[in-house]
Amino acid sequence: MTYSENLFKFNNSGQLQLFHNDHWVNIRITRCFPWTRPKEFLSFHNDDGTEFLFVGDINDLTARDSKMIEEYLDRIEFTIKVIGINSIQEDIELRRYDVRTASGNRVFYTNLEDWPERKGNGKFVIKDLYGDFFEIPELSRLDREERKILSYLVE
Amino acid sequence: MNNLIKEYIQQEGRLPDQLRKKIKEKIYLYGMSDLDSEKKFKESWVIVTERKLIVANESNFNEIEISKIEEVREVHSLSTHSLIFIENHDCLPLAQINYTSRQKIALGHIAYLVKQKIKGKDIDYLENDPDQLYQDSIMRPILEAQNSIAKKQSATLFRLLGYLLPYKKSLIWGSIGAICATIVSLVPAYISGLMIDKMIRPFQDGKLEASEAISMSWFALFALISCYVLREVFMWLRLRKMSILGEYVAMDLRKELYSHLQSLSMDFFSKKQTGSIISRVSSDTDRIWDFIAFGVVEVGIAIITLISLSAVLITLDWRLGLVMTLPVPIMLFCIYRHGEHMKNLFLRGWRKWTDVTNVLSDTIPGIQVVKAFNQEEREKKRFNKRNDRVTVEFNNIHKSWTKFWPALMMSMHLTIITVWWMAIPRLFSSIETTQHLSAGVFVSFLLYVTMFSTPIEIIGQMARMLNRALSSAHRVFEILDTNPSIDSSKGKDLEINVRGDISFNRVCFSYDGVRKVIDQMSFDIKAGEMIGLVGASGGGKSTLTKLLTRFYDIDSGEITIDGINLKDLKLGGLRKQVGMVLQDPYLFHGSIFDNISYGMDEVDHLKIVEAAKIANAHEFILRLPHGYDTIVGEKGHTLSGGERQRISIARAVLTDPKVLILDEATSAVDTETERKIQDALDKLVEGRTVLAIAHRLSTLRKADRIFVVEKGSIKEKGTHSELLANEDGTYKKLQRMQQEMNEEFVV
Repeated sequence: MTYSENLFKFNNSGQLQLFHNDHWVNIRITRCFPWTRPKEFLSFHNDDGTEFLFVGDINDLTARDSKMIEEYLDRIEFTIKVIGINSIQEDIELRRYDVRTASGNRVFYTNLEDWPERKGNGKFVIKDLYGDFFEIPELSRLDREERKILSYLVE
Repeated sequence: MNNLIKEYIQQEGRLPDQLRKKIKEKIYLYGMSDLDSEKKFKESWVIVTERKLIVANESNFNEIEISKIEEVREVHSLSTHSLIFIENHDCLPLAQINYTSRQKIALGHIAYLVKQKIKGKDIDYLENDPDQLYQDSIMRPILEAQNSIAKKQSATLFRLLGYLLPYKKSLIWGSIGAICATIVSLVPAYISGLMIDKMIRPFQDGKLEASEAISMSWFALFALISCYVLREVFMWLRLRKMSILGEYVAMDLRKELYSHLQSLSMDFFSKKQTGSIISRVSSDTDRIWDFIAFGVVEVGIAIITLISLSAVLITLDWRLGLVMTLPVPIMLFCIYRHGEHMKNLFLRGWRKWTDVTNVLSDTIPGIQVVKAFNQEEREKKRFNKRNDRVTVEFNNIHKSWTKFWPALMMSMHLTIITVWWMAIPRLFSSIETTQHLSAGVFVSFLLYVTMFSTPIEIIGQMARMLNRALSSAHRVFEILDTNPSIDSSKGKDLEINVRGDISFNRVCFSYDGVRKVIDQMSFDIKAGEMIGLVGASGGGKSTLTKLLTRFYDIDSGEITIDGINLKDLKLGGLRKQVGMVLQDPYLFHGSIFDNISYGMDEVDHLKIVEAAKIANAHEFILRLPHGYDTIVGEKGHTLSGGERQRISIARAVLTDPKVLILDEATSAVDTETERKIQDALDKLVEGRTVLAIAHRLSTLRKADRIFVVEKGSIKEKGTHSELLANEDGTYKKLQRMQQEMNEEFVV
């Protein structure tokens, strides 16, 4: 189903709203497949979980809405993107990652038995002890030394 | 803790003094926002005081009157979160702070606190130190994962070795055995060289009579035999003393650990995974035994052997001795590096192995589904693919070590060849020259060289062995260092003839020190009264019963039984008087008899049968092939939920508590079983003070009063009919909903 009218706006306090049954309602968006189909199957619902709209593909929306929602999702569905690896060391019970990310340098920890997981989109993702997700680039995008540091955890 | 936060996650461990000075009011809470609006890492402090919310960093100091805030909106996504403070929906927000999950607990506390203040709620209960709340929230995940983080490695090692002190005698004997065995091991090579230089060669040169040479040789042979016998006696002494000593140390640790675990409060067990606790008592103590029994001595012997061998070789012939000893540090380093490389390879292998076991643990328990969907072929392919991958990884491991060790041995051989190369001209030089090397000395030398490889290997692996043992010791000591949050020994024993009057007076409780789960709750229950507790999940009903049994201590207010404050009572005495029948009762491995009589020292068999009859359990027990002797629990006879429930009711009947807690006791059973359990419960509650939690209101028909518990406080209180009379009340709504559901079910 494609939509010919704009359905969304941000109110003055920055809350995303959907025009539903002649009213603007505050909504949240949940991606059904955040890793494998991030721009498809979007649920628009209120805080209580009542779904007002379900969109199969973000491109089904008007060009303006599609752009607005995509930017909004990119902003809120943020994961920390690793761009370089300084070191990975083992400590008692923990693995310490010292990395460079698109947001700045970061040191984070995982349990020893946790390692990067390959997601459907080919990306590697690892969750640290606090629940933050770090996207690890493909090995080919790292230099030789970094590949050596990381390879035993992802290959 | 301040330094630990800096050291571990490179974040400020407390609010900077410079900023504190700018804040005039008492600080209730603070946290850190670590992302800016562009989602770059940038630190700003978020502080809540009596009247203000402050967002500050090096360049900004933004104060917001909390009274101006109308709404706090929380936006959570995968890795980022935002708190948006809104004054008016028609205006831009007063502030928006973005943060990663690392700050989520601290800033979650702040969001909660501001929301409470917006609602005008009293926050006097918040007496915790804001520094401590912040530091706990930041360090908790690391502390829970790593344990005893603040301990130095050396301190842990010394503490571990301290467990050897009670066995000083065995330790001394074991060490004597180890040292003597090492020294004695060095003698045969020396005697061999001596035989060649002082007996064989002089005889061959005609300088020694045959009879004298033979008698000297017999003496040397006897000395050799004595050395070997002595060495094995010393080895026996060392192995025997140290392995037994290791067992005793492991036993002491297990005893201490288990008895300490029994004294710990429920909050400890709720934070730790069961598997992690079990492994500390089992595999960690086993690893420590291995380290003490063999590791300490093996490494000690290896070091002594290597030093003595080097000294002996250099003494025998300094030139050849240096050729042998100089490459040793390089070899040790190579072994260490190889160990590190192997560790990575093993990790890869382990990861792939986990993939294989995941398929097994998925498909074997779910084999019925696999077959029902005709997916056997797919599962076979999935398994084979992963099995192939793991085989490749393990083959890589084998390729690596099979390459390394021959290479290392080759370098040893090369060293020996170098020794030969240097020795040959000297062996054939004139005996008068200073360069001359006697055959006997050279043979001794060669024999000593063969003893070189084992200690090198052991020392090379020492770091790994030590790390493994210290990691286990850390995990064990973490439990031993945890203090129970509730002191079970203080206070007086509750009288045997307790009446069962219960009183909650302005009770507040929170699990995390901030969010109130029980909020200013007050009520009185008379002895013998039955109180029904209803309300949505998470409202605080179960917490209330946990406070009454003192699994947790309250933050403020007072709970009394018969007018005595719970904190003035001994835990043992209290818990004897408070019985519990839970939704999913736990049965221990043992007979039904043992399970009913659990916690009682000596019980008359007749009383057990009577208790089972009251609990409506007698009939089904007799249908079991071994009656009351039937083994249940782990690997025992499987009982249904309703049967286990009736065993637990029999347990409660037998202990005869004055106060009884029923937590969803009939919720997980079918209607017929529910009727039997309800019948048993009706008999059980007679003459006791009862707090019964139930979702099905019909099960509370006999309750004298019902409390509707919502968001930590009692919203409605009264008899069943009184509550139903309130048309807009929660209880009435609940009753209406359940009635409608029943009607739909009937239709």
